[in-house]
Amino acid sequence: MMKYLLLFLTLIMFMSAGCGDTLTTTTIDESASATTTFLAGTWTAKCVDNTTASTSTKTVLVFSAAADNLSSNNTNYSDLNCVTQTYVITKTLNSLSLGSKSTTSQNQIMTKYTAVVSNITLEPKTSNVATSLNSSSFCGLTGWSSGAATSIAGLTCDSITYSTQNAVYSDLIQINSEKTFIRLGNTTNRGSNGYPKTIYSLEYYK
Amino acid sequence: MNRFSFILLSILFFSPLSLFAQSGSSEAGLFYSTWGIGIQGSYNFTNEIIFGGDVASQSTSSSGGSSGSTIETETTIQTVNGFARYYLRDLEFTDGLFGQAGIAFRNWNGTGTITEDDTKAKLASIKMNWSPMILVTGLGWHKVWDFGMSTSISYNASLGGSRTVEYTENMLRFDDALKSDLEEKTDFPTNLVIYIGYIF
Repeated sequence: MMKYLLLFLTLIMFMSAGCGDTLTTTTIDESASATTTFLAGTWTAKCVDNTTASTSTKTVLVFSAAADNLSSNNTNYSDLNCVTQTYVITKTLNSLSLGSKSTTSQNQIMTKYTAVVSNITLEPKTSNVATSLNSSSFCGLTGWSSGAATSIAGLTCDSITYSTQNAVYSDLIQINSEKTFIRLGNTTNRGSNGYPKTIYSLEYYK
Repeated sequence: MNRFSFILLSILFFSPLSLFAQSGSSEAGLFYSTWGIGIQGSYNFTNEIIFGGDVASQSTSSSGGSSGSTIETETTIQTVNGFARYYLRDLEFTDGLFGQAGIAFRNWNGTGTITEDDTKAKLASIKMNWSPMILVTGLGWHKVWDFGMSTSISYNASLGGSRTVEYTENMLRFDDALKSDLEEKTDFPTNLVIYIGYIF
């Protein structure tokens, strides 16, 4: 009888165990916060080549001292190494306001910001480029000349429709936690809230 | 090779079963378990009670990636266990069946880091720690042969332990589904032990 009792007690002990360890979880947010102090200054991306077209592009972001204005200069080149300029598209944003942290559908941590489009211009850098733009009525315009920036805000150029002047502009900024680079949202792929759904892989370094 | 293994196992299991080792004898052997590979030693205090201990260790590290990121993980599981075992004797059908209880001291921890391939930027990381002491109870069956070898299989369960999981988000949020999956896969409440040893 004693044996059965011991067997029963062992079974009871065994069944009462094995529920696993009591679990405690903590989540620490070490993502970098975008601040005006951090953003102020010039951020430059690497030269990105297009081997198919034998061209390249380079983008420079310039945040004002208070980081409330942003000038994005996208320079295009006729070679693969960002040497010979062809044209520059400059996007100027005013009243830039940093918002809260957000998460993309890929769970990437971002900071939202909104701004107002001041202007978007295109400047041909050579007479050949100006001639080419004129001959194709690029953006519906024919007054292109080398060295003269012309507003393309609100126009459709080569299937891209640019924001109009004074339009509200919503975008995302991603910062790595080491605070060495930033990335911007893919503004050609916006969600229902107006913000980009994904980010560009291009990094900008100070 | 498979035929040879089968014949060997058949000989072992159908060879004459001895009575349990005599009081005062000792036993030592190796085991494979959920909590790692280890060595075990025991002392037969009486025909029904033995006292024993074992040490098990298991370390793993892995590296893999997808979508431009690399995930590196490392886990260390080291356990020292002391136990008392009671054998149910004098009942034909239970001979060899035992229940055991003991205290295990463990050094269990794990880390994981997700890094972006291109920039080497840290995306997120995980740290896991388990409490150093738990109670372990189990049931098993132990067979001893005349020529001194023995084997046992036991199923043990832990009691009274705790663990902490710390998620650090740098550029990436952990979603709830991922957390649940990870916590489930790193929970080891039970330990299956397959042992082979020698009585001396």
